[in-house]
Amino acid sequence: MTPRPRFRSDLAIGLAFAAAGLGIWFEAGGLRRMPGMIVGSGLFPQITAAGMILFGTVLAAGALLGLRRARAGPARPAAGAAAGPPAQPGRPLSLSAYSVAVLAAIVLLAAALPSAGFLLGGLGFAAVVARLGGARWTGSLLVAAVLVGGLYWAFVHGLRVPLPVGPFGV
Amino acid sequence: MADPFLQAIALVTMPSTLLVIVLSSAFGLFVGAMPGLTATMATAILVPITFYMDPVPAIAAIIACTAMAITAGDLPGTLLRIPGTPASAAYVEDAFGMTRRGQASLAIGIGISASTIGGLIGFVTIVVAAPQLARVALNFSSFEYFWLALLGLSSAALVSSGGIAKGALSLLLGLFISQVGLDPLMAQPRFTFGISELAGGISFIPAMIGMFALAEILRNGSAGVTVATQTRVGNPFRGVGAVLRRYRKNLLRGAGIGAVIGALPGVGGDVAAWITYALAKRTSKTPGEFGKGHPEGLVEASASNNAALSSAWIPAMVFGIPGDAVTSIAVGVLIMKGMEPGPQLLTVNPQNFYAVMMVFVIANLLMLPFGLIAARLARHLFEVPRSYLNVAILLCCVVGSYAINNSMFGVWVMIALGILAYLLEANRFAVAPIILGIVLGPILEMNFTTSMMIARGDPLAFFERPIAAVIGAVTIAIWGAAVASGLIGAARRARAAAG
Repeated sequence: MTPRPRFRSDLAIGLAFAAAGLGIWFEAGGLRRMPGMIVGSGLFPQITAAGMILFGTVLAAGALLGLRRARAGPARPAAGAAAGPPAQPGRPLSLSAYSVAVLAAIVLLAAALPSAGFLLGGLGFAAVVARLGGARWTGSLLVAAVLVGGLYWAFVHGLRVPLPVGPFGV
Repeated sequence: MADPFLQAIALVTMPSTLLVIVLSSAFGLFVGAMPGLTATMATAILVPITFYMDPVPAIAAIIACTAMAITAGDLPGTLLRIPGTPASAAYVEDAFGMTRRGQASLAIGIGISASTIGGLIGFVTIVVAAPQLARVALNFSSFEYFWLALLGLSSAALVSSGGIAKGALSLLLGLFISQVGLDPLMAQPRFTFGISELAGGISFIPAMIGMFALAEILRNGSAGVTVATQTRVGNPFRGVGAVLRRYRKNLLRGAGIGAVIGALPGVGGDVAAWITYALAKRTSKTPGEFGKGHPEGLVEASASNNAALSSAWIPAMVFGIPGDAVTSIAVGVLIMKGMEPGPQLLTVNPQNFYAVMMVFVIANLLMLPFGLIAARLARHLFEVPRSYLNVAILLCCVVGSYAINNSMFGVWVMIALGILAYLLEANRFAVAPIILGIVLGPILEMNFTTSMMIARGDPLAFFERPIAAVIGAVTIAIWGAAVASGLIGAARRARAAAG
């Protein structure tokens, strides 16, 4: 990630944390306290919120400074973020089509599991994700059946951990 | 004394006891290596089976299963960047970094060997210093526990890449997540927004699965969970001796610190692993290599993790005060089998106590052959096509997240936090401090609140007790040093930019 986009994202994230901290502070302020004491349900969250506001502001301020320096002279080495080490590349933000599809599939699975059950829902999910990864349909269905069946047996019968039940009682 | 000792040897070397140890270890290996399953879960599942066993095999089953499960939690972290325990999260970047470099075997071997040695040193600590350490542990009040938890959390925040501000924000985010639900003091709903599932809080298991496993798959796309292509996993112990010799100071220090911290009820291997990892980085000659596949932190934190596991039995056996969920279950089994924990354990039927001690040794030594088996099996993991491997991991993620509370809520938490972790890591936020914040947040808050009530709101009371004052001063000092170092670095960069 080049310096300017990194500073912009740091600025946005810093401000987001500071704003979240403010929200938590006010929400926690409405919680009950022990009679006659400052200790209550909201004390620790307010301390956490104060930390978020502080460090969020520090991050945002460092990012602003970095942006200013980056604008001042492209030939100069980019200044680091607030209180941080020299710039290290972040991980790429853009999601591949595969990742987006997998995310959509897992959300659909989570939505369908209560009604479809693990066996049916899991089978469909596993086959589709395997196919998305480049496997053929026959291989995808076979592997899906083995994985889902194996997990079902291991958890339900082996570990006695119930899994979502589908329309046919399994 | 010779007579009960010989009796203990006879009890432990019975074929039935040895078989129980081996089978429990295998079960622990399976559970520990599966993302979403915990050592506590494995122990709880074993309890009904121990009903039908004699006292020594029953306790042997618990000890062997737990020791193996904790160690096996390093395996998914090393191979797939999915830590099996919060303690494994301390060194997952280095372990996985070694895998990326084609050193998966060595990473597994280091983890297992350091864990074995750490566990054995923890065992020696039990034998030699159990009563003394237990007495020290009894002197720890809420003030000391608060500072110790804060020290562990601070270590996690300050060693993470990305800078102090980002490390602190990750930690604070984890602390906030731990506060969702009913507060421990007045059982008042906090940040639930009327959603009944949130009243139960957010479990760290689906959070950990989502933040590591799901985020990793989203990041790598169809390339799967490792950047390296086919990675050979050979003999995990080749080259380990040289590494352990080179970092022998880290090994011994990690085991020593882990043994002391583990003896404190409720603290556990998580804090020990993070503190020792941070200490390793701080004292290393190559701190810049940490997080990229450097074995030094892996050696120290692995040793401390298992040393803490062994010494966590000290308060449980000497005073009957369980240190964590696993020892709570173990104390229950001890009582059920007529082995009442406490000083009388050494006087009434001492052969049972010595037998349990021997089981510790056997369970730790068994890590070596089981680790070899696990490494051999892991070799095949990399031969599985990525498309199928991703499916298996995602299914395990969903099942593991669901199984915690038998609720779809866990799955939604996994998805939401997985997306959040993906976005944060893309902007150089470390994710591991978030997990530790979720795990240690309740301990930190409970001890802070208790201390504030005792002190009637006077913050200076946090420094009145000597041990608390020392740990508090150390914690403040490391933050001060980190902030000062960061400011000096920023000032230097500003001067350089100004020309």
